[in-house]
Parts: sequence; structure tokens; C-alpha cells
Amino acid sequence: MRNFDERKAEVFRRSENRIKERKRNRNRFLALCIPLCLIITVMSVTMLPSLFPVYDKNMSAEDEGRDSAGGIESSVILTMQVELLGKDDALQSSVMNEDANAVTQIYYTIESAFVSAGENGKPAAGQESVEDFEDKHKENYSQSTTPTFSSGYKITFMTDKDTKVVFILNGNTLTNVQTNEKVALSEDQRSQILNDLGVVLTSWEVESE
Amino acid sequence: MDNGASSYRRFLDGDESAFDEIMKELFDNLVFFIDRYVHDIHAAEDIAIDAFSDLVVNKHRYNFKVTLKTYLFMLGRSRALNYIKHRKVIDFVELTEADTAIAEQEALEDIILADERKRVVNNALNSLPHDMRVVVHLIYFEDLSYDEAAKVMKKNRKQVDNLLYRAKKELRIILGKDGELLL
Repeated sequence: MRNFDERKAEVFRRSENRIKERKRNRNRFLALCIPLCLIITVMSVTMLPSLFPVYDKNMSAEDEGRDSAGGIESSVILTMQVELLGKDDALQSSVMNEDANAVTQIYYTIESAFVSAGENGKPAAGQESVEDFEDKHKENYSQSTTPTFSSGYKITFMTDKDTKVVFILNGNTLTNVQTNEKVALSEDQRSQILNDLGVVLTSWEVESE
Repeated sequence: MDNGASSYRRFLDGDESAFDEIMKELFDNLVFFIDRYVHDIHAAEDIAIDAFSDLVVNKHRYNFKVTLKTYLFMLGRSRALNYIKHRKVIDFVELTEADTAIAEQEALEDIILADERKRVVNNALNSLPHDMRVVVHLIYFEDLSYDEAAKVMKKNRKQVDNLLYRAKKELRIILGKDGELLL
């Protein structure tokens, strides 16, 4: 067995070795971890953005409006049907237009009403917001979440891909049935749409006004 | 008597001589205790040196909630068990080395068991089961309390009580009526 001094020396020698070993292991760990962290950071910066869809801030107002109106971007509008709705949504008369060019033109005219309402979230000049319109005509305006119409025009566009886009023109309110978006039209806009639709005010509508 | 805690505090504050005091006070006892497990005096010394180097390397692991002696014995015990787990099943030793080891063990016993009574009890311990041997060693030879012995052996107080009770009963049989007085 060792004497006292030998034991003490051995204790401190082994302690030093263990401390050195611990430092060496710590340095090895850092030498491995730091490059690994850097690689992961670089990879995440370069690769992750491509995995997620990016919102395109430069989308044009027309595109936005088309989107907000539930527009059909890649489809071709083929036909349009206009139905005059009486009380309790009863169909009173119906007109079909199969002139694709005219129908497309009418569609964009209707869509532009939503676009001008969509820009800046405020109604366009000469056009009141839906809320203002509702305040004015509170008694007549329906408060339910699903659109119910007592009278108006139901405009249905059919595309080459058999999809439908339906709008309801009720008084000065234009509603996209799919998205439930409403916009209050100015007199000019309403007249423009009705002219394009080739609709003549019926005697029933004159009575209700 | 704080069994080395105040010396260790001085060592932590930078007094190297305090560590000498700790070693002089506790080293031989620790070797003797570890030898109860490993039955090899040289290995026991090695393990004791490792236990003391733990005190130097992991300075702030000892939280002063137990005595330094208890803490060292806990370290020694766990290192001894680790050694037993990893050593070869049959350890061949040269005859000359075996003679030396026996002589060194006897020398250590002379130091620790200066009291004749303790020598008698120590000889009787060899016929006891291992746990009883360890608990008698800790309480009788090392003067640890029941709670401290329980901490070293990783048992609860009740278990230590039971072990000691059964150990004393066995020793009475081994040592006879005269031997009973030694405990």
C-alpha cells in the first residue's frame, strides 16, 4: 500500500487528468455542435422559404377583385342566365345569353363593382358601403346570414368547366352567392349592369319602388 | 465532530492543507470499508483514491446535508459496486502478491481495529451475510448514526434497524455470552 504522500499525489494526479479529460470532451462537443448548428441554420434559411407558399404583394387589383368576387381565373365564361325573381324568390322570367364575348364583358362589369369595393376596404366614390346602405334601408334589408331575396335579378354564369358563379342584384345591392360578399352599387353602376344585361325594368319593380 | 465538513469548507476556500486533514482522518477507514465489498486491499485503495479525487473534481456536488464521512462512504460504496460488476469472475493473483496483500490487510486492520474488542467482532463478522456485515461495520466501527448508515447503504432507517437487530442476534450466537458484552 502507498504511504500518505503517494496517496495524496495520486489523488491530485487523477483529479487533474479527469479535469483535462472533461475539458477535452467539452471542446470536442462544441467542435461538433457549432458547425452542426450553423449547417442547420443555413439550410433552414435557404430551403424553408421554398416549402411555404408566399403571399404575392404585387397581385393586381384586378386579380384581387376577381378573387374577391369568387372569380374564375382560368375558365372561359360561356353562357349567362338572368332570372327575374319575384316575391318569395319565385321565378318570373328568365333570359339566356350564349354570346361568350358579351357574357364575359358583363361578368367583368359585375366583378369590377366588387373590385372597387375591395380597394382600401372603402366604397368607391359615388358608391355607398353596404353598412351605410343597410342603415338607410333597415326595415327592408334582410338580417339573416344566408341571402334571401324577395325580388331582384339572379345572374348565373356558366363556364367551360361546368362551374357556376351566381350573383343576385337586389335593388342596389349586388351579392355574390358563393362568397356571400355584398356590395352597394351606385346608380351609375346599377344602370350599367342592367343595360349590359339588356334588362328592362318590369312593371312589378316599378310598383315596388 | 463534523467528520470533515469544516475541513472541506476550508479546502473549498483554497486551503490545500485542509485536504490533508481530511485524508488523514478518513482514508484508511474508507479503504477498510471498501474492502468489505471488493475483498482486495489494493483495489480498495485504488477505489478510495478515486473517491477522494471526486471530492477534488466535483467540488460543489457535496451539499453539506450529510457529514463528509457519510458522503465519502456513499461514493466509495457505489464505486466498489461498480468495480465488482466490471471485474473478472476469477482474478488470478501471484502467490507472492497474495502474501503481500494479506500482510497489508492485516496492517490496515491493526490501524483501524486498535481496540481488541473490535478485532473480535471483526473476526465474527465474516460469517454474517454481506448486508449485515456492512451495517455493523458502519455503525460499530465507523460510528455512523442509523440515518447516516441508511444513506450510505441506500436503504431506509427501518431496514437498517432490522439488519442490525438480526446481525446482533447472530453475533450473540457466534460470540457467545462473553461476546455479547462487546456489542
